Amino acid sequence: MSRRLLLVDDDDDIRTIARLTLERLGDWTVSDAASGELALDIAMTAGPFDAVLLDVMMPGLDGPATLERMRAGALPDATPVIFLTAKSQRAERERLQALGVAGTIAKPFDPVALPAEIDRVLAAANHEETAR
Amino acid sequence: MPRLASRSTFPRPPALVLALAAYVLVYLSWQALHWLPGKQELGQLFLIPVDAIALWAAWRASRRVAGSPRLRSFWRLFALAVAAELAADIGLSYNDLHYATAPFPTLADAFFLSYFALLFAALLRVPVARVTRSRRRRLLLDGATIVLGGGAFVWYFVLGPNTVGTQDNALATAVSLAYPIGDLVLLAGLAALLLRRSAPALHASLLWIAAGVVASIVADVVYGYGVLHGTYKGGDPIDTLYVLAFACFALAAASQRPLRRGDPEAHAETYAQPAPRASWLPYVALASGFGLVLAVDSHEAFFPGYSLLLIVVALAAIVAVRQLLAQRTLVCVQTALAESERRFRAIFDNAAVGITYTDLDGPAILDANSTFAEMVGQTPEQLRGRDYSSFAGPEFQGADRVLAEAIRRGDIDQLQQELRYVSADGTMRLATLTVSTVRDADGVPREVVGIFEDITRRREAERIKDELVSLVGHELRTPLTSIRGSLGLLDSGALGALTDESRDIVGVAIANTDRLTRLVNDTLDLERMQSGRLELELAPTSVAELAAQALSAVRATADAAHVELRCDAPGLTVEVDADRIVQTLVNLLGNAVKFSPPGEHVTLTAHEDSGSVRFSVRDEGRGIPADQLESIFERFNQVDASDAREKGGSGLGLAISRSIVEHHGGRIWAASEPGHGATLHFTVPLAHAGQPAQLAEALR
Repeated sequence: MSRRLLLVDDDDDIRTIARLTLERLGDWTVSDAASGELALDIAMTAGPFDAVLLDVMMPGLDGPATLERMRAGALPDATPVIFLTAKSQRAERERLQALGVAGTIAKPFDPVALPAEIDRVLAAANHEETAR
Repeated sequence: MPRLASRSTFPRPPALVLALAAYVLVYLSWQALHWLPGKQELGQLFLIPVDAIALWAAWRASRRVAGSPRLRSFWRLFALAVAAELAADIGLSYNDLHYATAPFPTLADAFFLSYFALLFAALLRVPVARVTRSRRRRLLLDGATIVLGGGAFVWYFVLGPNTVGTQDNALATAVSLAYPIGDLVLLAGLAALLLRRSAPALHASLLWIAAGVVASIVADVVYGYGVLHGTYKGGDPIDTLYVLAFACFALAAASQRPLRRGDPEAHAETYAQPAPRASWLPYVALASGFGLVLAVDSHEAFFPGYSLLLIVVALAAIVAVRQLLAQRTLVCVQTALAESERRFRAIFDNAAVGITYTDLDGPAILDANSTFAEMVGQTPEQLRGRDYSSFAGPEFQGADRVLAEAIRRGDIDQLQQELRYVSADGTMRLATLTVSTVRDADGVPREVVGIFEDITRRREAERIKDELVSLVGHELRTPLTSIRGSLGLLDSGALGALTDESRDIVGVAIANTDRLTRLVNDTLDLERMQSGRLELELAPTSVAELAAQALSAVRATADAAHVELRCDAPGLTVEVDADRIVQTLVNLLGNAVKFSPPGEHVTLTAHEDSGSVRFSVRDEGRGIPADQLESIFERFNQVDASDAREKGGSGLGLAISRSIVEHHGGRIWAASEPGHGATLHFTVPLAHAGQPAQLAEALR
């Protein structure tokens, strides 16, 4: 039984590559959305998901705004969210982390390593959760 | 110097003054009371002791200035002149004691005359400063005025009457004429010396010598007059002047302080003070020349009145010529000044930058050029008396006062500062202000020159360029991510197995995509740093932790290249942006690994270096040629142009590293001996070391 992942990114190519990678190299079933608004719909209608991969910089609703809306009802609180961000500075990463996500993955990412990277973030978040 | 001082047993000047004064008193009491019989026979004898003292003092002086050959030869000639006088006085005493009527001329006269020649030769040896041609002309004229003015007396009382020939034989006439002429020559030599700038070490001595020469000239004139009229007898009161003259010479020699070799005091040229103020001498001479004519004229115009008149006319002519010369020099100076002022005005008024002169007291603007006036929408006249605060942005208010105070204290001499100002149309614009101190002749800060350059447009252009670079960079990165991702997927075999050839080709595509990605990332990085948009997140960080992170980042590359990594990082803490310093270390270590032959090692060390920590990355590769030790830190500058292809670098790594290090207030440099590897060093501040306070920061 594969896990379900919601992938939100405005770049079609990135979505295609990420979906292919996660499905072929990982054990994920991927639903994808091209914007924050679409992602909210999918989260409402096609849930539940085991994880959400959310791009930070998007036109319209950006990553943090989408996260806020999702947390307001579209998504169960327990669902881990991972930000995809092109900003690699530590301060920026810490700011995003403070919004209550499982972790951040830097863009551009190496698609081949993406499934392992997601597992690593989820495991770390899980570990932290258990410790708390 | 101590050796000279200990050898010098010469009495201190006060002791010598006392001894001389005592002798003069004894002499005067003899003059007044005649407590020894035979005044005429013994008169000359009294001169001998004072001559001897002067000779002794002059000889000692010549020993004390061994460091200056020129001064030594001056004192030796001076001593010889005094010795000649001593011999002459001994000769005269002998004559006085043996003959009722002393014969004339005798061997003693030969000694007297050689005294003039030797003393004049001595004066020629005094080191004097070189003078300009126009100054030399004026010196000659002044000297001529003095000689003629003084000579008028000699001529009137001695020379003139002698030329008429009261002596029976020609030799006697010639010798009696030689005395006043010798005096005149001495006077000329002395005048020339006093009017010029002579070696400071001789100043005191020269004044004493001048006093002595004047005393002896006056004595000679009176003596000559007396001899001419048959009234002079040995031991006359006028002899007192000779005693005083040689006492002065003794004091002159005693005032000479010891000089070492190369003492700047021995050279007139190295002495910055103005020449002794003896410029009144020509006027004294002039006044006395005219005075003599008036005195003579008020009695009856008698022989040789016409020659006196000639002297006075000559004097007047000389003075007129001198004044004309001085006037011409003044006009030349004024013309040059006006020319210089015109040139300065042309630069000042036509400069493309705003220029202001500010006085330090206000600080108020003394003058501003039209460019500056246009910048702030005023006329130069309106700006006078205003201060910078009246048109600078709010953040600059009061800073001009702080700045003026710092300049007055001598804390700063020059400063460049960015400031906003209210421009002619009322908008805020950006300018750089460069202030430099103007000092007066004594080196005291008086005024400030401010140079204003409007950089609003330049800054705008820079911003547009930066945005463009940033935009292009980001636009390139997105497709690159997709390309790299697609290739990665293909390469992973997840989309179906690849043939060996396909795998090779995909490998080439991946390697080049990675290189292009690095280039874009590095360009964006560098652009961000150089446009000042890099904000460092400074925090105390352990050096060992930085080293460990950097080493782990390059370990895979090093293993693949069969290069061993070594590290020696002590327990120090630095105040840095950890990510950026790790980035720098990775750059340096990556380079070192790239250029190391397999089997070699790369060493990272860190140690404390005066308030900083110095990181050093050493490799055993081919090294860096000496002429490229600096340029490798410039953009796209690699030692070998083919490196970019072979080693896959962007050519920006070291430029970024330099930028990072300099943002931390550190320094980065390379050292290498080609063929024996290279070491790259950089420094960053220790955690506890205080950053030097920048005045520009304080002013902000």
